[in-house]
Amino acid sequence: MSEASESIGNTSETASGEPAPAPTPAKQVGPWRLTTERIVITGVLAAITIVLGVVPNIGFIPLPNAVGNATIEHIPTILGGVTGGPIVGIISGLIFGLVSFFRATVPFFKDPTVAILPRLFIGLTSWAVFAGLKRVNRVLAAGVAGFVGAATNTVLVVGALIVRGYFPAQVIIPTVALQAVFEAIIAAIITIVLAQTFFVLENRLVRAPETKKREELPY
Amino acid sequence: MIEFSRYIPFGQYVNNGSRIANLDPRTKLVGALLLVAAISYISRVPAFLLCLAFCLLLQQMSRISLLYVLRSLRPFAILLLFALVFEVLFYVPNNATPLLWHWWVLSISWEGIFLSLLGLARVIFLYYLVAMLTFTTSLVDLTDGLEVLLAPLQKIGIPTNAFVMVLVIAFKFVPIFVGELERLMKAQAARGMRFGEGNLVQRVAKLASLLVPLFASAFKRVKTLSVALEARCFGGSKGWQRSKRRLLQFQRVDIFSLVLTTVVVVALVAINLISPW
Amino acid sequence: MIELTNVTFNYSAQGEEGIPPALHDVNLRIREGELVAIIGHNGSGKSTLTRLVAAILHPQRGSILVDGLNAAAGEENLWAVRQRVGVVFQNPDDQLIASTVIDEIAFGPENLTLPRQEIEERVREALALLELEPYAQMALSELSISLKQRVAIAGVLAMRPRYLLLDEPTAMVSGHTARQLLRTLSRLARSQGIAVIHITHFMHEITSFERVIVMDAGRVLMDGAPAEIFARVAELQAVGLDVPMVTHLGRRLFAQGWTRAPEVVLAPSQLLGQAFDPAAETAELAPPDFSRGQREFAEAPANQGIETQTTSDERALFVLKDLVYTHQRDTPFAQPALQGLTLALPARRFIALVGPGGSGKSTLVDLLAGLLRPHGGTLLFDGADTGVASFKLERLRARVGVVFQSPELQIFEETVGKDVSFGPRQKKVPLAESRRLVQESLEAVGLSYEDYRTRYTYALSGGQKRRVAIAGVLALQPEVIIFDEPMAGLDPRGRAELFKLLQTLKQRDNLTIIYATGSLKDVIELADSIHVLERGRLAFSGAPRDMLRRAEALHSLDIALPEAAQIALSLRASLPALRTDVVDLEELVSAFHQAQNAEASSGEMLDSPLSARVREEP
Ligand SMILES: Nc1ncnc2c1ncn2[C@@H]1O[C@H](COP(=O)(O)OP(=O)(O)OP(=O)(O)O)[C@@H](O)[C@H]1O
Ligand SMILES: Nc1ncnc2c1ncn2[C@@H]1O[C@H](COP(=O)(O)OP(=O)(O)OP(=O)(O)O)[C@@H](O)[C@H]1O
Ligand SMILES: [Mg+2]
Ligand SMILES: [Mg+2]
Repeated sequence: MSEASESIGNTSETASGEPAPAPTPAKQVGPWRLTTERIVITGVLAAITIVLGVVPNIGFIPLPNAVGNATIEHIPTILGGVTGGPIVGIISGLIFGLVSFFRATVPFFKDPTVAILPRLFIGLTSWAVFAGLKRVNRVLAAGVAGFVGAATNTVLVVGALIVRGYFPAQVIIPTVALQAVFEAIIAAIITIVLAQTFFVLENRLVRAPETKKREELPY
Repeated sequence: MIEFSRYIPFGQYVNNGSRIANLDPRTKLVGALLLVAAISYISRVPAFLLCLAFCLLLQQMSRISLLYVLRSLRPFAILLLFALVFEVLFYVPNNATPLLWHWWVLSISWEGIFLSLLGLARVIFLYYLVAMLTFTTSLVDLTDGLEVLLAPLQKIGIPTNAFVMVLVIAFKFVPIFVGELERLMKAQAARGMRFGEGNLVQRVAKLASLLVPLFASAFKRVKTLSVALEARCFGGSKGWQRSKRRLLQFQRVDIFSLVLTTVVVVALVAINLISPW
Repeated sequence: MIELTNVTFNYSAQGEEGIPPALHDVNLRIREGELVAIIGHNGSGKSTLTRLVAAILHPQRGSILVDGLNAAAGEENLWAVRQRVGVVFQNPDDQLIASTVIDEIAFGPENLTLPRQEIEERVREALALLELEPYAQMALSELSISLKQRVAIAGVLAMRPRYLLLDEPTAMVSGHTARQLLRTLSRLARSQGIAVIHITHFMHEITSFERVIVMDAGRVLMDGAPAEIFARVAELQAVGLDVPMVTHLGRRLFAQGWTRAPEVVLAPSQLLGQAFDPAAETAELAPPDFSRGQREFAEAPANQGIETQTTSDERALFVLKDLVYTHQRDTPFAQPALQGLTLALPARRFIALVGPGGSGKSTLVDLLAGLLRPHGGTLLFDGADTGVASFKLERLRARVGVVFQSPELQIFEETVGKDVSFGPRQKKVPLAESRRLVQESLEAVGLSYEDYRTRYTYALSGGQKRRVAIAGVLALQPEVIIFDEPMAGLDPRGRAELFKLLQTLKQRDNLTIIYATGSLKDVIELADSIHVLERGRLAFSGAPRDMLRRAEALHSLDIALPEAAQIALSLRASLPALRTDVVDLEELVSAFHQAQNAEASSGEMLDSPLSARVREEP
């Protein structure tokens, strides 16, 4: 049997709903192998990355502080790592890097070592964290993966900015610290929600669990 | 109103049969890459002037209205301005330069203004080159050219064919997702959602209510598209190898263009090294 | 030959309890060159069957042989089978991958790593087979949905398959484009010797097929010639299917003693005793004979009249004057959608907007719902000019609800309850009141509140999604509801249920319904007035019955007539006295009798026992 068809067969095997199987086909095919489905996932996430990058006002949340906006453009890359494994994560990161490189309006982001190189690691760390923790609790794993993915982004980009000498550390670190925390928290929340969606779709779940008493719900 | 498609300067290939449009995509890719590298490197005024001259030449040969190119820059104008101010304020001058104004780590100096303006020029040049590349080259040509150029990497085991396929799929879905996003926001507005209001938590929730259906639709499309691709034997050969119907062929004009670009790039670097300011 | 022997397939590999297999003990043989149709309600396993035959999935039990090859046996076989079996899916956007027509067609052969010469040859051949040569260099994004569909088929044919499976290819095209597609399919089967397996929800499409397979709950329920299958009306209806209207008509007449037609009628011509010729049915598409119709029914005078009358009606809910809207305005890709539309839509009516694809219906819907502002002209809502800056579009949105063209994107919350309560929550309605609204709206659309409130929206079928979308709009308690093509992609049962729902909504006082569609079929029995759009302008307006008298104009716009009128039109050649402005089966039956009587009394026809009997009936 080919790897490609294996991937499809196996993802539906996951769908059979053991208590909480990973929503990734990674386990069956081996995380580092490429399959048709993984190529398509990467392409689709790349498209979302581009959309978040070019549609005005979509890719960020205005923060109530002076520095500016919390970006969410790294979310597709994190999700690539979580749902597709390391290869998907790296390629998604590469595309995220290329998008921010081409779209950058400040000179230091027109430097590939700042705009592209750090991004390759976002999907990788998210995948590693998710794969490590998913056996404990899937929601927790997704949240931590989101947090770590966003943190990877900030830390490596800021690190690259310092190493390349664009900013001295004592200027940039306090400037972005607060924003970085916000970004990581937002990424954690959104990753949980999206990974949950992926899981629901993958496992063809029909009914959501009741979380609150009916009296407290609008429906 | 809710209409994004207008603002997307993406993949807007203008097929006007100009000299540049007719070049081999590999020529344009290599040329653009060389120029991007050179522009990232240069820092002296004369080099920027030469660069300006070369871009004017490109503009002339592409027969694309300058107005149209500049308009695609408009969404970035405010960001560019913002970045300029930011740069100036955060510029850390060496001790010898006189400061015009300063407070905490912020300062204004002539040197800072000068360098920031050069930085701005660099960004605009880089943006211009990339815009020119996408205006004069169709996405198919771009990915085809890229596939050929990256082929050597395939030999050492990097799956470049798969990477090019990723790009093809991404380019296909960008307009589809932009349309979906537009539809979604319309559907939410029609049911009473007010965008751009609320505190941080509410904003995150609103964003999630856009992202969740967008990703859900994306995940579903993954399933259907990968079935459709496999049904057409995608992945049937080793290393995602595919043959090509199109034949990319270097013409004499391609060689001439590459030589010209190389000369310009060498000149840029040379001027940058020699020039005192 | 494709041979399925005792094939069982379950998506959940471990065969969990509670989840029945998607396919259960299926046995089938399909020979090359056969023209086969597969019908079955939503979820009956049709798409699963195509995936198995195309070797995308492999059966857990039983075997599938394609020309003697078992795809599960090894890598070699797998790709050999996938080359022999081509699959075309419902939505062309889900399967097209390249950006121009010619590249798309070359995609398959390129995957086979064929030499360039060979690819060129296959591409040329596929272009020719589907008559796509003029479009070869065009970008796929510029093509209409039906052309995309043809490109998708050409892309599969370039692989030179021996078996072609099409999963609901006609769900997104209508009118004569669908007919043209079917004609192409039968040509492929007859002249190329390719087996064509066509999955559909439309019974009238498959009367000329050689063989019909009926699926139900993962099993093959019936397998035979159309005449055999359509004889079992009750059984078909029990599994949510139906027979073509012409077959119903035949049965009605037969029961009333009409002896010139066989018991199972597949084509209108059979009603008058002509033999059924499947080849002729698909091979040529005789242009309907309008000439006779036009003479008798004097050109409907309504056109000018209604238009001016309604526009001058100041009390209309929406008044549109010279409305203009251009997509991507001020770019080289500008696309005019509305170009001077003048129209008045009165309150508390059921108004239909009918137009071919791209005529601007969806754009108009967005404008009416306050989601876009017009680029030119005026749009008055309840007397207020919506174009002025001081007019808050939120005011309009609060009173107008929309059910969009694709329900997928209309429903954006995770669960049904959350989604339906979205509107009330935005209005900050108290929780108890919101619960009541959700319950009322869900029940109004025929979904059980308790059962559905916590269901995931992703797990709903197409028909259920439509209902939830409508419930979400009802929960807003709007004065106006706009429907944009709500019938697309529903199976016969789903369409019938939605039709009933629309009927009950129509009964509500104080509710204005605006319904945009590409075919008259949906609205002819419901609408109070119909406005036909053409390229962003009003072509003509009138009452439903007036529309039927303008068959020629509608035909030239590719707007499909209701089935009853179509049958009447095709019978007209041999039955000149037949009225063609019939809305439904009942009217068609009585029109048929009338025409029969007229013929009989004018002595042109031999005495028919039926007309005699009908005359006796009170
Ligand atoms: N990828 C999948 N994973 C799990 N179950 C599936 C999957 N696809 C379909 N099913 C289930 O298998 C059954 C048969 O589905 P299938 O899609 O074959 O039906 P269909 O006849 O094509 O329906 P429709 O007319 O709606 O297209 C259904 O109960 C469906 O829910
Ligand atoms: N977002 C868009 N960007 C560019 N052009 C568009 C867009 N939406 C619609 N158009 C164009 O505007 C015209 C009118 O489109 P519209 O969707 O209103 O027609 P329609 O009658 O609803 O068609 P259909 O029956 O296919 O839904 C078409 O030519 C279409 O291609
Ligand atoms: Mg199906
Ligand atoms: Mg429409």
